[in-house]
Order: sequence, then structure tokens, then C-alpha cells
Amino acid sequence: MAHEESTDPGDAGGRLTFRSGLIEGMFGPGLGTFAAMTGFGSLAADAGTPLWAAVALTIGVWSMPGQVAFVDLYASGASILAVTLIVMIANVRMFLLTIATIPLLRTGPSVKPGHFILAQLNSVTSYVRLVDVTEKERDVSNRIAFFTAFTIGTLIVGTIGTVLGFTLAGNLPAAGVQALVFITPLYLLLLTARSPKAQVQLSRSLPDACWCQPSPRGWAAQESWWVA
Amino acid sequence: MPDATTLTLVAVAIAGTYAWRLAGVLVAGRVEEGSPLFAWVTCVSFAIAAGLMMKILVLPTGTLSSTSFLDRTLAFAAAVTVFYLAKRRLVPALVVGVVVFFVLVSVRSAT
Repeated sequence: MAHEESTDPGDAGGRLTFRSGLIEGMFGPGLGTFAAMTGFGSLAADAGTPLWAAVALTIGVWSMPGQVAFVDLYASGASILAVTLIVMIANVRMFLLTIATIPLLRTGPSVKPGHFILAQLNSVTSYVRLVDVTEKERDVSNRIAFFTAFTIGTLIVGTIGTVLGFTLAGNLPAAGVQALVFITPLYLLLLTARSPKAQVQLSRSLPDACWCQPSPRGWAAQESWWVA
Repeated sequence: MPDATTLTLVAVAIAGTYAWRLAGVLVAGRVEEGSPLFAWVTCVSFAIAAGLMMKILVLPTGTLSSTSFLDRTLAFAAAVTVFYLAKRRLVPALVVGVVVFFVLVSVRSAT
């Protein structure tokens, strides 16, 4: 399937820069993140979580399922062990997401200290967008600049959303907030539908999975299996 | 001044989540882009992302749970239609989907 020319933010001229990533992160899917974190801020206020803790969770945990689980547990007075276990279980997807992300952001076979910071910044939104831009951008340093800025952009608006939601808990117009929250799932599903890489890999894996045996192409790929 | 219990709980939540990220980086150091293992992890990651987003649309919790399934479906269908009509461009599809959703929710709450 031919990859269409796009005029979407971050695609202009095929040039990925820190600036384009920051702008897109803040004003593209960042609006959805802003809305989602506004909802989280309101939830945290309702549950009696302090504002500083809500902000620390947004910046430090940076994964909605774990944040929501924390707020729920905090309100019920759960133990440290319960919080640790349930937040970890809620965020287990970050493990696979990180494994899928880091190889797209490195130049050599080994990981660098900077990758541990990029892993902390990573999110579902950033990952899906990264895969999308990887199709066009082969220069890893440009990818890293874009990815870093994109994620920092969403993190900034997410933090602002948390503070706003906490402050205005219960006073935000429902339809407006719901429309904003609707942005993130819609954006990510459309982005996934646009990614040729996802389509190719799924189409390659599905027949293998159905027939429970590797296709000739699967065998060929196995020859290049590389584990350091 | 933050109380010690809340501070500890927040710290373990952050550390617990980062443990997955840390483990992911360590494993990723042994996975090559283009290898079958990487392809598999990518497929699973996409499935997680798409599944999570579809769950938000079909079985939402939080603020979207008070909206109608029909409204969410119609808005999503409108966005997908525009997406393919506009040669898979994101922005027009996103704008149409969100506007349709906002209008449907507003009309329903007004009646």
C-alpha cells in the first residue's frame, strides 16, 4: 500500500526536529493528554490525594492505569505493598512498550544511559507516533530529537491538565471535557491504521499464528535473528 | 510539607512503574530492530495500544462512561470515513470525529 503524502504536523517536508516534536506533542495529541490528565486531576482531588502527589504521579508514573489505580488505593488507605503490586500490575504494558521503542532510538547494538531517560518519557501515544515517523525518518538522531520533544510536550500539557483538573474539580463543563478525552483514543486508532509497519507486521504474523508454523518468509527472518 | 506515608506511596508507585521501563531497556539492548522478536513485540505493543483505545471507545470508564455508545460509535465512524476519503490524513479525520462527538453529546444532554 502506497504511503500517502501528509500535511499533518510533524510530517512537513519529512523533517523531524525538536521544535516540530514539541509543537505536535503540545497541540496535537497533547490536547487529548491534557483532557485525560484533567480528568485524572479531578479524580485525585475527589479521592483526597494532595495536589503535589497528583503532579508527582503524572510526571513520575506517566501511565494512566497506574495513576488511577494509585488514587483508588490511596482513598481506601491501602498498604505500601498493595500499592506497589497493583500499580506495577496496572503498568506492566510499559515493559513491552519499552522493548518495542528502544531499538528505534539507538544507533548501535548497545543501550546508552540516555535510553533510560527516554524510557521514562515513553508512553503509548509517543510510541505509536514514533513508529509512524520511523517509516520516513531513517536518521536516529532526528528520531530521538523528535521523540524527546514530542513526549516532553505531552508531559507539559499533561501536568498542566492535572493541576487544572485538580483545581477545577467538579466545575468543568461535561461535554467539553468528554470531547477532549475522546481525542486520544481516536488519534491513536487512526495513527495505528495509518502505519504501514503495523499492517505489514500483523499481516506477516497472522498467517504464521493461524497455521502454527513459520512461513518461508518467517524462516528467512529467523536467519537474521540477532541477540547480543 | 508532604506527609511521610503519602511520600512513600508516591515513591513506590514511581519506582514500581520505572522497574518495568528499566527492565524493558535492559531487554531491548538484546533485541535488534528488524528481528522476528522485535516484530513480535511490536505487534503485541500495537495490539495493546489499539486494544486499550478500543476499550476506551467501547467500554469506557471515567468521564466517557456517561456518554452514549451510539454517539461514540457514530463519531468514530465519521472520523474513519473522513480518514479514508482524505487519503489517510489525520487532522481532518480527528477534527470531524471530535466535532461530531461534541455535537451528539451536547444534543443528547440538552434533550
